[in-house]
Amino acid sequence: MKGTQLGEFEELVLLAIAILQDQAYGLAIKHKLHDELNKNISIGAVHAACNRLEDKGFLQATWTEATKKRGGKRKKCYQVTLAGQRALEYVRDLRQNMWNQLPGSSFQIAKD
Amino acid sequence: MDQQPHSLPRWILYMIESWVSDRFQEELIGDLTEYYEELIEAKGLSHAKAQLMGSLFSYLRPYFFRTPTFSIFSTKPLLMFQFNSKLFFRQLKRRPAFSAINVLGLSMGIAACFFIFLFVQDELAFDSFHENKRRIQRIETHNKLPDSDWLLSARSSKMIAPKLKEAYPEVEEAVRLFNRWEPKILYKEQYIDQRSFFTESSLFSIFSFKLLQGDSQTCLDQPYTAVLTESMAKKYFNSLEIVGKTFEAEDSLTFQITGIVEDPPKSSHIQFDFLLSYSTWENLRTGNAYDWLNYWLYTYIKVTPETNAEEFESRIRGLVHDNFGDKMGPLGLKVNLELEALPTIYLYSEAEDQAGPIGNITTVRIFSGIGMLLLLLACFNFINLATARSMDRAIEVGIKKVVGSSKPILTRQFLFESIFICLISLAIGLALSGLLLPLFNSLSGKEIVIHEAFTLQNLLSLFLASLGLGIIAGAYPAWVLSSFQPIQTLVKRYSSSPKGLFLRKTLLVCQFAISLILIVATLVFFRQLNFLQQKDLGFDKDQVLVIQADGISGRSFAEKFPFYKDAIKGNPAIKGIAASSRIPGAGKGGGIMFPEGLPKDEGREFSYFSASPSFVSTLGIEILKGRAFMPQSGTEPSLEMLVNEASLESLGWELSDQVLGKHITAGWSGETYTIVGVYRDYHHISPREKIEPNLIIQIPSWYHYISLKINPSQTHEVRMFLEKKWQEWFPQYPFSYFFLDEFYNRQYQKDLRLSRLVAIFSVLAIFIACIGLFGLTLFAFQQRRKEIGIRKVLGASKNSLFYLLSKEFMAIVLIAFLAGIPLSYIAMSRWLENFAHSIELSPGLFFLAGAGLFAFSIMAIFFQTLSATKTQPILALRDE
Repeated sequence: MKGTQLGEFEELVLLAIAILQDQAYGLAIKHKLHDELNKNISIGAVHAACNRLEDKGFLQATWTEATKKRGGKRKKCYQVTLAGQRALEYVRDLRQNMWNQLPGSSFQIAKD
Repeated sequence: MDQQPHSLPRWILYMIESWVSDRFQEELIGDLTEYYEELIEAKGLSHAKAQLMGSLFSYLRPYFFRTPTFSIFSTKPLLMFQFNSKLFFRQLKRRPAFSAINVLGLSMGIAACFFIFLFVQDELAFDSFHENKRRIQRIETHNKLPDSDWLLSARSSKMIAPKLKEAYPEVEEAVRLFNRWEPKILYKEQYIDQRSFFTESSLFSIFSFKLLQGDSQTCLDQPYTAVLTESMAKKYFNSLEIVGKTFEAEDSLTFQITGIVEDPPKSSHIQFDFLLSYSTWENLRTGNAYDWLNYWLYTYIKVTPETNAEEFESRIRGLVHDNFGDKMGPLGLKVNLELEALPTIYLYSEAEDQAGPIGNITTVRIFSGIGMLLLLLACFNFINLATARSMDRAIEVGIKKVVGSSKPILTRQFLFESIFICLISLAIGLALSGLLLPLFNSLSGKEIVIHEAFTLQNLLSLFLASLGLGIIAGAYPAWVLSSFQPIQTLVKRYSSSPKGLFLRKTLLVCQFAISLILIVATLVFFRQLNFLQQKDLGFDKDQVLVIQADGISGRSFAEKFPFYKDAIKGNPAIKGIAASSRIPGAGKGGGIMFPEGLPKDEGREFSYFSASPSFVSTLGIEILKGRAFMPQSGTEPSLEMLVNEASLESLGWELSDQVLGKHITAGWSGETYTIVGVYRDYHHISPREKIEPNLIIQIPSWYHYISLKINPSQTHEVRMFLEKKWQEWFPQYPFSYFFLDEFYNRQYQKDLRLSRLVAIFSVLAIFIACIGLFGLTLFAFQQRRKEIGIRKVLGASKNSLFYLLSKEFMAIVLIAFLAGIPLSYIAMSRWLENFAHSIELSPGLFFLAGAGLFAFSIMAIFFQTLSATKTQPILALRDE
């Protein structure tokens, strides 16, 4: 299905945004990912991913009021669109489907 | 949370703005600001900055990059140009003094740099007109007498050229140039000195001297043929149609003219008026069994393009030894041949006895350095004045930004202005240098004519250079000016940031430190030269006339000298006559000697020369113990010897009568000499060199110079008299003479010229620095007009105001002084290391330079300070 391919990082970003709901802006997403993955994610990577996902139509953005805290800049908050939700579900289903086909003994050999 | 957050460092913002596309900027900057604040709280400011810089790299991905818009084309360029130039000229008019200082400083810097550029270009271009310059090599002779130092002579033996051409296929052509004897030319019954070489036709196939008439293959093959330069042809024949004609020269020689050659370019290290065929010289002289060891002429070869010079040099190194080794062995001589590539001869050759003028790479380097410094000074001025003016223009920037101008547009405008100023300065600088070119020529000893200086290529590179200068010097001020925030400039009273102030002060300190270094250098140069010139040589060089007899064979001169001496000694104006093997106080040469008391076969190095008995009295050399030589008749050498104090010291002998009667055996003959006297040390090699152990012996056949102490009031008569008698006794030899003090002075001419130029450039440097200071004080006082007015109203005295206004600038000069001292000390002590005898770098010298610096800078600010303290307060306070 064209246009629904998600990279692993994009999938995580999309999920983080869904979890954060209306507080999903760049820095918050970065912190969330940091907490979940226990690994430092560069802010540039987050911004790139968010904007790409927006370009693909998986996210939509709203701008909040400018605050002093942000040096007079507005905050860009993201929400997952329907297409984004579909893409996430597709990935999850795909994986689930494949897990279901897994015979019980698949990982025995690797363990020896 | 009312606390003001830290804003992102400006450079980070700048980076983001410069490469991140506009549509991402707000989000990125906002998030980064917040992130930065978090980082500061968690880890502190410096750590936060480092981490922020790290995250900056994560934006280096094409996705974020802005697509270039070429905004230069987005506004109508012509309209903007008209607009900008109008504003620019209004600016110039509004502050005429300021603009004048800016332009004047820069144009003087440009003119000075242009001169230095011309000088360096001229030096570097020497010999570059030869088409085959990369393939031409000169053969030099590196030789060593037993137990003395290696000597490198630019000359070589006449045997080398034919041998090389015959035995080595890589040598395409070889030519010999002989000028030990330059025959005088007979013209209107007078013998006239001309520069000439005895040489071969192959000269024209190696070098690019242009033959105008004659056959370049054969013109110098036959004996008694000659080629004249164009100017000589015009001088002697008034015509260029002279091939086939003849002229006469000294020793009743007749030459037939076989060609005319273009005058050698000034940038040739081989200079001549006449080229005479080498075979003439061969005909005139009788062969000598030791020709392999007579380094009399210059040999140049042209090698094939694929020849590796170093490899070839290693193959011919032992050429003399291979061909003449059996006779050299007993003499204990060592001779190696070396190659010197044509392009390096002028600036780099270290060989003695050069064929023509020789430059010095150190001079070229010193001047290039000074040129850079001057340009730097002018640049600093420019930056200083431009940033100082920024307050002036802040409102303009604010309004422009409010009506929609952007940073890039403003940057471009300010850059445009600085480039424009540079171009105006260039025009003035060029006019200045055109006017001053004759002065520069006379100072530097160059002969650069105006059309050579202002070539299209030079002008173009100057234009590009000043364009570059405008961009470099204008970049910082333009950046500062265009980044003013409209709110701040329009609402608040905008004062210059402490950062800008610091920069200006730093640049001023640099300028004055550089000026100090140049002043110190000038002082040291002059003092050292003066010191060398005034230095007591240990003998009396004044009123001594020296006749050169070095073209006459030693034995025949020794036979005739007593007669000549008898003929002239009756003249009352001649107070002393002495002959010697060297010019008094000049020249090196010596060998191993075997003094008594040392183990057998253990020799010592001594320099020695031969002199007649009256040498000591004629030159006023003091005898400390014993006596001078006894006058004797005949040409037989005596076995007496005089030694100097340094010799005694080197042997550990006391200065007492015990020394007299001791024996020293000569290494060159094995004869044993007896010491009859000890004389006071004098500079027998050169005032620059250390006094070495020296011996004077009396071997008449070595004599080559006659020194005469004469009465200064009758110089002319004595000279005529001497020449008349000379022609009676040595009719076939030219009478050539010089005065000893002039001979010494000539040695300093080059150094004197160098230091004069350095002096001029350092004055220029101080001037540029001072007009910079002048501009800055002018500006600072305008800023403080109200303050001064209020202070006066409240009763400040003129003195206290004067102190208040000048202390800041004096502090700058003081810091520059302290910074400049160690630098100039290091530089100057390195220069002085070149001399065996040098002045001390006394603190007084630095204080003198410092005092000069202060005097100049006080002069620069004095009048303004004075007028500032004198202004009526009402004038400053009434407006607003």
